[in-house]
Amino acid sequence: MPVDTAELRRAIERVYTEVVNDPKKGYHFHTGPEYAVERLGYIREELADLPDGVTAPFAGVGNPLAMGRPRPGETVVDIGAGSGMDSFLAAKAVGAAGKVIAVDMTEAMLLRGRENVALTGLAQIDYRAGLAESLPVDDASVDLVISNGVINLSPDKDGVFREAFRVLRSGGRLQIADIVVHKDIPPAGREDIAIWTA
Amino acid sequence: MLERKLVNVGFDRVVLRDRRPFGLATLARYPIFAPEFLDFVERVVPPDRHDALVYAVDVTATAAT
Repeated sequence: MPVDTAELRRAIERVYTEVVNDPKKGYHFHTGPEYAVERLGYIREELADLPDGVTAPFAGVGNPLAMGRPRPGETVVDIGAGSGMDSFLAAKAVGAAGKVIAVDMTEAMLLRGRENVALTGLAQIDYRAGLAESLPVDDASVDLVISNGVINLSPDKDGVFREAFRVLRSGGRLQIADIVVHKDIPPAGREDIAIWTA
Repeated sequence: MLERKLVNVGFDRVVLRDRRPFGLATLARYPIFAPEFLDFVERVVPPDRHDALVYAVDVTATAAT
């Protein structure tokens, strides 16, 4: 039986709503700026400049911007932006002449993200509700697509990659950090929502 | 497999920049793996593979010009 996509999305929303509302609760996983600096190579001083509401809920698995920073004036899409740590770092890199479209499906993340935009004054960040498989972004309008620990949560990874390609301009870049397996997940695992979402 | 997926949709210059093995202990620190999943994996995967169950990867690609 294929995975119930709607239930999968609800389960993901439940987990990440809890993370954004109570990031220091003490989850079984690591979150926050110390983890980002010590394990993933983020720059401590850069994170210190961001509000706690941006960095505390961070729960990525890598550092997409370590592969190359966006240039001033560029447009960036962050797939599954969450509270927006990568989006805010990208926003500082592109500057006021650039734009960062932070896409997330979780209402609590969008709310927190928009609060943080207001708090920082980084008006070049545009939080948009949407799915990784159907980005609310125009065709060929973006210079860089980033994502951090999100694509593995999608039941349609090919669809996510098609969308990233669709929104990128010719010559645009994709920079993702994620988790991969070397063998297919057994059918029993695919059907277990808890396994998919944590 | 990831590289093939990216090439299939039109990307080129796909580069896997880092590849870090994650074992059971490391997986437990990330939100994408529930305790139920870790229990499941511990049961079904031979112990000699518990130190490298999955890989965290950093990947770059370019939309073909």
